Amino acid sequence: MRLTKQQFIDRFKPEEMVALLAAAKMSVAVEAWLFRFNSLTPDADGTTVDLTDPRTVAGLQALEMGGLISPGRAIEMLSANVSSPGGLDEHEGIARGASVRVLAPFDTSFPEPLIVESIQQSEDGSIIFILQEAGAFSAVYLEPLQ
Amino acid sequence: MTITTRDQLINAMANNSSRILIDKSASGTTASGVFRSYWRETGQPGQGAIPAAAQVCSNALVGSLQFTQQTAPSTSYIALFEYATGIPGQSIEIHDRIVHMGGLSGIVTTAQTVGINLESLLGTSNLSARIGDTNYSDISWWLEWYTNTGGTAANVTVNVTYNNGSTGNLTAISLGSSIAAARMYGLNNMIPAADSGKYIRGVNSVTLSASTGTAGNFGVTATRYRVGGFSPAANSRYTQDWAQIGLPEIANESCLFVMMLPAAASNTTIRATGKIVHG
Repeated sequence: MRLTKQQFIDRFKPEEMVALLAAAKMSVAVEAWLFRFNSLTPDADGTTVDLTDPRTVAGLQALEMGGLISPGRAIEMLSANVSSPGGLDEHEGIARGASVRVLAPFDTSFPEPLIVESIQQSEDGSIIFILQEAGAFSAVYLEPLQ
Repeated sequence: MTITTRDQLINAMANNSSRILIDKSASGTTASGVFRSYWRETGQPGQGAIPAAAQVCSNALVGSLQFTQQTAPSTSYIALFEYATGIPGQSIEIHDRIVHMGGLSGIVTTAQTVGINLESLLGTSNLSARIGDTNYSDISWWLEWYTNTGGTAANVTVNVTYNNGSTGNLTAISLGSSIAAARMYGLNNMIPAADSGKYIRGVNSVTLSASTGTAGNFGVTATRYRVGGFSPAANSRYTQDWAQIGLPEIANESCLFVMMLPAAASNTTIRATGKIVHG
């Protein structure tokens, strides 16, 4: 998947962008990464950033390893279907923030209703629902509550 | 014949024993407090193979400690266990690897078939003697990782058959992200309150709550604890004699291998020796 520069920047949370710019004033490596990004020119379709380009992947992983973005954010930001920071807003009729019931065989372990904190795309492209501290679930194990 | 007197034990120690020799380093990523297997580590004994379909393990497998097989009524016991680890605070254990299977995927969210039922395997590789109590209470069950799964923190639940023939789902295990090869997650402590007092006889299937993002490879393993020890200081040898370890009997065909309960998220070597006595 390809993005415009603006779409790529939108994937950073505000606090992540602040940390990135602050780090660029102290680290030549981060400054070099920003310089490369700023120097990119759009292709014919108007996009600039290829999420599958090894340099894009390595750059975000380096930011994660350097602590400028939280663990797991590189994968999240490289996902194809992210519409805003924190993931998708809705998938298969279940919206972020919705209350859901967990279905068998996980219902006995998670009997209480849980809130969908975020909807993300996994490394393999599958969509996952993050339910508070209960972790990740596929849509097939969730039922939205009215 | 069994060893029932000190004289018989001393004689066996001096004149009729097999040598334990373990020398292995560790690869991958260790997590504090999560058991790890040394089955796949290289060294001595050699690197065990990643299983596919369910397989009863025996002394013939590469990866198992070798000892002289006995003709009944003669039998075998671990009578001496000496060990050292590269970092302090490690608990090392020798288990008899009873049954294992692999090939489970970290990206499949439907139930994945395991198909292990110890009751139907008791006639294979001396399992009837190796499992201990006939109610399966001596068996430890594990999910064992062979190659890393992905970054999504999924849950996993396991459908089991209990010793009374009933079936049920264990309480889900929260796996966390990026589960590394060699980690072992115990299943016995996930028996839910509703099934208290039962013991796991078999494992039917494994279900992930979500794709982890990477297929990896993991499986189900059944073991029986035989002996263990604690290593308080790094690279220092600790010795446990027969009285300290309780002289555990080692049945013919036992597939003895090493596991560790790490106190730190650091890989470490294990060097151990000892004696399996016969009589």
